[in-house]
Order: sequence, then C-alpha cells, then structure tokens
Amino acid sequence: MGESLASFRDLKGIGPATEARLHETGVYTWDALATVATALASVRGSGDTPREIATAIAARRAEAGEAETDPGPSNGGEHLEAFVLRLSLSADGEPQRSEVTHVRTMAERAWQGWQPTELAGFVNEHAGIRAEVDPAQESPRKASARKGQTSGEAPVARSPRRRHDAPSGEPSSARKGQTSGEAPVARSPRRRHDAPSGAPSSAGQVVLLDAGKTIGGTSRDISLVVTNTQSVGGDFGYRATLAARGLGSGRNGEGWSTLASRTGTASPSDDLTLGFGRVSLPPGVQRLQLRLEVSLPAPSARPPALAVASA
Amino acid sequence: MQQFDPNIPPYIQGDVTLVKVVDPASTFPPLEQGNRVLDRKKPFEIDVEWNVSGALAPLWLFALRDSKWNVQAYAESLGGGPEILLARDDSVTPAFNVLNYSTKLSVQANALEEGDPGSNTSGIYKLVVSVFLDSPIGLPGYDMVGFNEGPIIQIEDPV
Repeated sequence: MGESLASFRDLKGIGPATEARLHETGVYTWDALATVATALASVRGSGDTPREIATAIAARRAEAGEAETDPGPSNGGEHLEAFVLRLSLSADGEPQRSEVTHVRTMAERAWQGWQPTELAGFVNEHAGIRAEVDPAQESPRKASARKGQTSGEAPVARSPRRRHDAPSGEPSSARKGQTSGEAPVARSPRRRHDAPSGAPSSAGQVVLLDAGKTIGGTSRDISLVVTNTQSVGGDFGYRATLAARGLGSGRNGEGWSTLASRTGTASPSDDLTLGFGRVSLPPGVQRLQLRLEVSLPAPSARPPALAVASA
Repeated sequence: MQQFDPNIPPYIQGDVTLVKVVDPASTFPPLEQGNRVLDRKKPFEIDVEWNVSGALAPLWLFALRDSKWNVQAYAESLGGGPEILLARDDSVTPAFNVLNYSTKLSVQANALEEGDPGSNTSGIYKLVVSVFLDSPIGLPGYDMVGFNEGPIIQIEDPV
C-alpha cells in the first residue's frame, strides 16, 4: 500500500469491530473510505455512518459470495490473515503501549511497551501458523527447497533496533529496578514460529537494577551486594556493568555512562558482592545502575529476581 | 553510601536533615489535613534543612563565602518516567558562624503528571533534594554537596 493505514477508530462511534470490518472489506485508507462513503451516499442519501458503510459493504460481499475467510481448493488453500498493529510512542520514540487486532476474528490484545515475543505469539495463535519443521528431521529434498527459497528472498531492510537495556549512554527504556527479558546472547536468525508466548528461549538474561544514588566528583571504591541469588536456580556466570548518570540530567533511561564492569561466577547459596575499584564518578549527585548479564543454568522465560541490597 | 561531601569526620561533614512536603490542603478548609497526595493543579512547598559540622566547618564555609547554596528538588518518577527538576533556590548565603541552614522551595502548579492507570505514568514520585555550594578556589576542590531522598508523594487531580 502506498498510503499509510488509517486509524478509523479516531472517528466517533468507530470501535475495533467496525474498523476490523472495514479492513476485512478492503478499506484501509482514508481515501478508500471516502470513495466508499461517497458512492454509498449517492445511492442511499447522506447520513450514513462509517459503521453503516462497513456493515453494508460486508453484507453485499457476503451476498456476492466474495467472503474469503475459508480457504478454497481453487487457490491451494492459501489465504490471507491480516493484523492491525497500533503502537503508542512517546515523543522520543519510547514505546508506551502496543495493541494488535486480528482482522478476521476481531480478537485483540494489548501490552505495555513493545513486546515482540507476545506479538509473535498472538499472530501464531490467530493465524494458525503450523509448527516449523526441525531441519534435522526434514527430508533432504524439502530442506534443499527451503534453502533455495531462502536464498531467493529479497533482503529486508530493518531499522536499527535500540537496545532498551544498555546502560552505556544509549537510549534505554529500562525502568528503575525492573528486569529486562532481553537475552544478551546472539540470536538465531530463524526462530520457531510455534514457540508459545513466554516460553523459555535462552539461558541468558539481563537484569537491570537501581543501585541508588551517590555523590560524584571523586574516584572511589564502590561495593554492591546482589541478593536473592537463589532465584537463579544454580551456579551462574555473570557480567556486571556499573553505570551512572547525573540526577535529572536526562530523560529516564537515557544518558547512562559505563563506569566499570567485571565478570565472574556466583552461587545461589550466597549473596553476590561486587566490588568496583577506583570508580571515577562525574561531579554532582549521580544515579547508579547495575546491569547484570546472567548465564542461567537452564533456559528461563523470565529474568531471575535479583536485587541490590540497600546501602 | 555517603550523602554529603566532604565527609571527613570529625573535621568536616554534613547532612540534609529535613525534606518536608507542605501541602496547602486548601480544597476543604479547615477540616482537610495536609498529606502527601497532592492536587496537580495546586502549588506546594518543600521545606529543606541541612547542616555542616566539624572543626573545619567554619573555615570551610568562610572560604566559600562568595558562593550561594544551590538547593534543588527533583521528583523521581516511580515505575518509569524521568527525574523532574521541581524547584530551585539560590538565595542562601553561607557564613562561617552559621552551621544550620534552611530554605523553602516553591513548586508551581501542574509541575507533575498524575497517574494514568495501566500506563507507565504512576503519578507517584520520590522527592530528592540536593544542596550544593560551589567552590571557586581551585584544586583539589572544595565543593560542598549533599542530598536526601525525601518522602514519596502522589499527584492526583481530584476532579
């Protein structure tokens, strides 16, 4: 589509159901809606609401047998599934809320922020995407065909994704004291489409912790104690990065500067004491953040509930 | 973790001893009591007190007599959102014979967002007040700075 998808819900009286019906009947843009409205008005007179228009179009299509919700044998069972994704973004591009509608069933789901895994799960569930065949169990012929398909695909340009959990001066949506489920490990370009939402996907997790405030302007040793290590469930490796930013010096989640980092292993039976020697702090009151990249003993859907003990 | 610098007891140290929200509580006078749930549309005040102590405190303060204490109040949004500079005051002058200081910060109406259920805007904020006395006398650096994490407040428009 050359035009962007219109948000018909901006119109009074248009809800998700009516909007989905409009989409279902091929009306995706304001121009398309205006064309339909004008055409209907010339027949029925003025006063039609978009809801009436959508209903009328759907009714006419049903009468004409144009509904294509059931895959027919004539096209090999191929059918379309359409989803409408709405993202609410702050002025600086921070995802606030996402909402997706499955057009055919008008099912909806909403999340705070941007949850691509949840979105993929929703799409899988409502589009009925079959489980991807494990390449190891795939016949050589099919594997070869699949490989050929892949190599023939046009490259898809992807916008650079901001890491939302990076402390080192990068934009971040990290919430204070919250954990991030983004894994630090490299991801396979192919992902199982049938992975249920929230399923264990990695043995690595990133945990962001608010490490309090301190007065900067000097170089000093900083010691932090990470508690609740039993939540990891076994011995674990970690990479701990200490970051700081001046109080009030930037929008939330932005402007973190890496001060020091260290790696090691830890046991769930003891608190983890992290000592950062001779940390050089910028002047003024500084907020501290501890980023822990944790190698879990077993894949987990959620980051461990680690915490920093109060000073 | 230290909250005042310099911190060399018993020679010199300091403390921000009070951060108090003064809610005007003017919606239903005289029955209404001030509290920490504040009307977004109304201004409020923050009382701040701090002190400097130790044998070197008078000398240190005398050396910085040409500066003024910079007192700033931030609201740290809980559950997301930025720290917001609510108010500042640069009127308090240090004096070698004065070790206890205080000021009143005035926060304008509509400085903070109220909560939005279901969103990351909680409408709940932790106040952080910093006091800062700049040193113009060079190395190794004689700035005085301290902070106090004060009460948690909630912003709510009753209408």
